Amino acid sequence: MPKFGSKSRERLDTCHPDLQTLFNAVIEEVDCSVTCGYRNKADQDKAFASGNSKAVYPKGKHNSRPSTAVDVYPYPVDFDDLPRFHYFGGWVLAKAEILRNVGEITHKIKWGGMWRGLDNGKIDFSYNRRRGVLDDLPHFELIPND
Amino acid sequence: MTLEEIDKRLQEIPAVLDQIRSEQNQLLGYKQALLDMEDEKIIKDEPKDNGKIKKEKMSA
Repeated sequence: MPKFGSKSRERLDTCHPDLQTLFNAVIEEVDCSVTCGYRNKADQDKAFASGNSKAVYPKGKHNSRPSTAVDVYPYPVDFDDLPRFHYFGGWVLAKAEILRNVGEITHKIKWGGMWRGLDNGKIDFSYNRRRGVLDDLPHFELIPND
Repeated sequence: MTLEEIDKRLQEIPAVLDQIRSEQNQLLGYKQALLDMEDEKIIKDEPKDNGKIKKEKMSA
């Protein structure tokens, strides 16, 4: 069974309990690596300057404590293997729905490959394409509860 | 369609195909997680035989 390395574990520990529950369940079945949890001001400024984030500190989802966003890559990381990123994203979204349905997490999850959250389990994987929105494939975030 | 329009559309099509393939992979991943859950459920729900859980999985 795959397990997180120490850096991934450290980063995931900075995230909201729902994200921890989700990715602790994910790692039991699919190897992956957490590259970002909480981002402090210096890191957010860097991410903003490099174009990796559109949010200015402290408005990013990674800037709250605990972080309500996490960046996770399927492991081993191959940036050219986009089909794997898409497959992984779809897999994680379904896992999140399953966990929410059994009450293990309380939030819906939004993924950077489909910026619209699942609406009553209905999926809309063509959302980004139809809207011309850029993908952020490693990014997963909580949708605030009403 | 003019030749110009045809060429323009032909140039657009590879990107559209890439997007459709992305969607296909997302759906395949989503589906696999649901199938995995069904498999887990079946294994958990199967009657225990001499204290051992049967390993066979039903086909999806």
